[in-house]
Amino acid sequence: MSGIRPTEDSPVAVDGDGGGAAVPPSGAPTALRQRSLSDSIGPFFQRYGVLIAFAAVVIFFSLERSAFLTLVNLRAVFSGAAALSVLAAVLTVPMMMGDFDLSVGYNTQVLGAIVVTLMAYRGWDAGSSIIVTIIIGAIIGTLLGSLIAWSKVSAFVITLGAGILLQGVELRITQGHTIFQGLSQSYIRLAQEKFLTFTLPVWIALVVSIILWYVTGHSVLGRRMAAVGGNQEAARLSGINVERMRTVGFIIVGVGAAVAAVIITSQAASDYADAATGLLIPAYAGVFLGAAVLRPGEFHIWGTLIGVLFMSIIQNGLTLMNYSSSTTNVVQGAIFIAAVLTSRIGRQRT
Amino acid sequence: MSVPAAEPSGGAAASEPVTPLLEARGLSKRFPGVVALDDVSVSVRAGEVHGLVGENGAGKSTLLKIVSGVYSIDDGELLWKGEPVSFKGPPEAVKRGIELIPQELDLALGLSAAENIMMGIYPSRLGRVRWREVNRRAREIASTVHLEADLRRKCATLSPAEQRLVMIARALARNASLVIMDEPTVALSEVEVDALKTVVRELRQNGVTVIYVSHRLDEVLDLTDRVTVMKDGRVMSTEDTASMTKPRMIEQIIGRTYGEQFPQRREPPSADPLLKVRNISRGFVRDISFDLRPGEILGLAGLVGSGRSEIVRMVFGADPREQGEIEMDGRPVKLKNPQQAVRLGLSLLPEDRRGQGAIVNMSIAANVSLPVLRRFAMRGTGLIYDRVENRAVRESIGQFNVNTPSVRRPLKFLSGGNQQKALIAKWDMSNSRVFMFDEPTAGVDVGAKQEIYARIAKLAQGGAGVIVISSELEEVVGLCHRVLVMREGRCVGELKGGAISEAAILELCYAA
Repeated sequence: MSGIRPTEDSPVAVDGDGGGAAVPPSGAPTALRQRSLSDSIGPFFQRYGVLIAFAAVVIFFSLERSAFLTLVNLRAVFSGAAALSVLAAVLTVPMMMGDFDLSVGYNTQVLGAIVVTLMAYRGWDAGSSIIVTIIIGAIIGTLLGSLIAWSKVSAFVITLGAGILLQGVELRITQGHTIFQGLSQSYIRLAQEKFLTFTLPVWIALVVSIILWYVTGHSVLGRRMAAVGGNQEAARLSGINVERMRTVGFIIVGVGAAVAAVIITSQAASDYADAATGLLIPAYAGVFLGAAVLRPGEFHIWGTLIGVLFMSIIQNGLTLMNYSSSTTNVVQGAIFIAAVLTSRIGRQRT
Repeated sequence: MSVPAAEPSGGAAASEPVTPLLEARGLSKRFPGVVALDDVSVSVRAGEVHGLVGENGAGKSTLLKIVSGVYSIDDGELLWKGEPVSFKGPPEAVKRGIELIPQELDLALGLSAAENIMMGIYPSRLGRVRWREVNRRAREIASTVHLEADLRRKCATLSPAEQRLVMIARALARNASLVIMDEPTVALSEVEVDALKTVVRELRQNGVTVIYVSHRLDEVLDLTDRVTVMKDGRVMSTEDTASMTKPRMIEQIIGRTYGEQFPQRREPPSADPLLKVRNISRGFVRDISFDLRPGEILGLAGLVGSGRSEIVRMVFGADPREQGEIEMDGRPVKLKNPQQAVRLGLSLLPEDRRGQGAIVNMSIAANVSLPVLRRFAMRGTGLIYDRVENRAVRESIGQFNVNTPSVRRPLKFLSGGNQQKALIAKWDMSNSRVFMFDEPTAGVDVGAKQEIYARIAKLAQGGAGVIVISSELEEVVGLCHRVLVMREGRCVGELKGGAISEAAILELCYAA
């Protein structure tokens, strides 16, 4: 089983709170009233708990710091979250089928190295470098995905190995150097280009999300992926090529990693070590926070985006309040856990 | 002896009213969009076998889940030995001696039978489980339910009948005084059903009360002392079984008079075979050959485990075959995976609904439209037109009277039988030319069975070839033009037309 579900499948979620308290013989009516109250609050929290927390955090920061709710700051937050959003959004797709991709950070790192070296060492122009990098991302995804789907070894394990491998590849390409010379101005400007007040990377993240929302929610492909995620054997017996669906999931991640790599290197105007490797965990934090939003227990693109934004805003707000990154991390982690727990409070009895 | 005696029962034929073991008073339960139970009152006497029958979605399962602590009560009262109770979860019901054995067994398949039987009550010393004691006690209890399998075997390797007995043994190990059996005989062969009936009768002799839920009305008539009929979330009647007849029971269940159960059989036109299967083999299933003509309904009979399902799975490409050829319309076809099968116009309704058929977290519509999704999508972009899809699905499941406020609800909100009907509708919609139905009426109520039979006959009349696997011989006899009987992986006989009878099939099943 490679599938990991955030919450219970069963419609009959039963929490084991039968702690042994005896039921008072005449207590039935009161018990009834209490339950109906928690019955209505539970599902509400389950759906909107994260959103309410999000709103509370936004209100808190805007009261604390007047610089928080300004266009300049929001621009910075969105631009900073763009690459992460792309990664989290694409990772949502295999996650719907129960597949993790632990190699995505290194993958992005390698693709960043590729796009930059093509320009810096080979003298390619920005356009062709980007296109080739995206193609390479797709190829890596294809190889990884087919290996996982046909070997039937869990994606968690294979991508763990692939991550180590890609790390070596990246080191071979860059020799550990930061590469900043030889990047064309047009490439660097890519990240700075503004369009309707926001930078291009923000719009790219939005477009990627819209495409994925359409594919996963409204297309034949997405429906088939959902079927694979719901019951692999039933999907197979309905004539769906399960292996192909899972592979497509990883191809989407590969392409997304390439896009994220371009955003990161363009924003930094360079390729440096560990520019992307650290994004793995925040990206998955976004994915799992997203599964606690609106449709509890389900991975979905908009949820993921909200999750990523939530985490980014916390970081931004705390930074504005002059907290160190150690504090920021502790708070982010704690809020993440609290949010995921909140969404489970609603697992009430039916 | 570990079989628990229930509280001293007042004697079966007590003249004065005795406190019932279990009583429901005006129970109601609502789910979003559905009233599952509406003012239900029913009482179960200590020491009786109480039958519970009704259509899919009539509220039987909901009632049982309330009794066993899975669901909470919206309205009304539940009395256990005369005292009002409100369980906060199954463990509380178990503590009082109420055990539900669900239709879909919840055994730990990776653990041994003995471990399953003793689950949660392992005898231990200083925190160490005394395994020898576990095995000894499990064996003792297993023998009271005539479970003869080696209890050290993993549950996954036991037959469905043996697994069922493990569940009953587990209930007894925990000193159950009320055992609720939901469709215990689904997927059991006739012999196994008889054995199970014996177990139930012995439970009653030992003072255990049993609630017995089944769509197989003959069983209910044969086994129970009293029977309660439910319809649309209400109780229609509770009567002594002795005074109940099958036709009257059916009428109460479906709420109308019941015509012919099976549609009229029309001889298939003589034509070249649609499907030719030659010498296919896999594992213990060897050298199976048969033809299927358009318009023909071919039955595959035999005991559970005789290789029936394996044949249709091979034909469908779900399991690779080790040898043998398959032809469609006289041309050899590969059929190496279900994808090719679906493309060639084959359908398979698998036997294991929960494991292989239903995608419970997806909507009803998404389940039903899955094999033919492209039909509802824009060419090129793959955009699904939800409205077109909804309409087609609504129409398709409407033929089988699946009740649901919306086809966009998750499949899991349907009762088991209604899920089965939806899955039949799924393949019905596929315009296939060969339909293979493995236990099509498992867990389906009597009225819906009639609809499914009619639909199968209609598919055949429309020129499709149909293969039906069923453990209910009545079904095979009533529906099929031709029957192949399987035994131990081989085809041991073929019956045609008037020669098809339950006796003839059974004879072939057991002939040594």
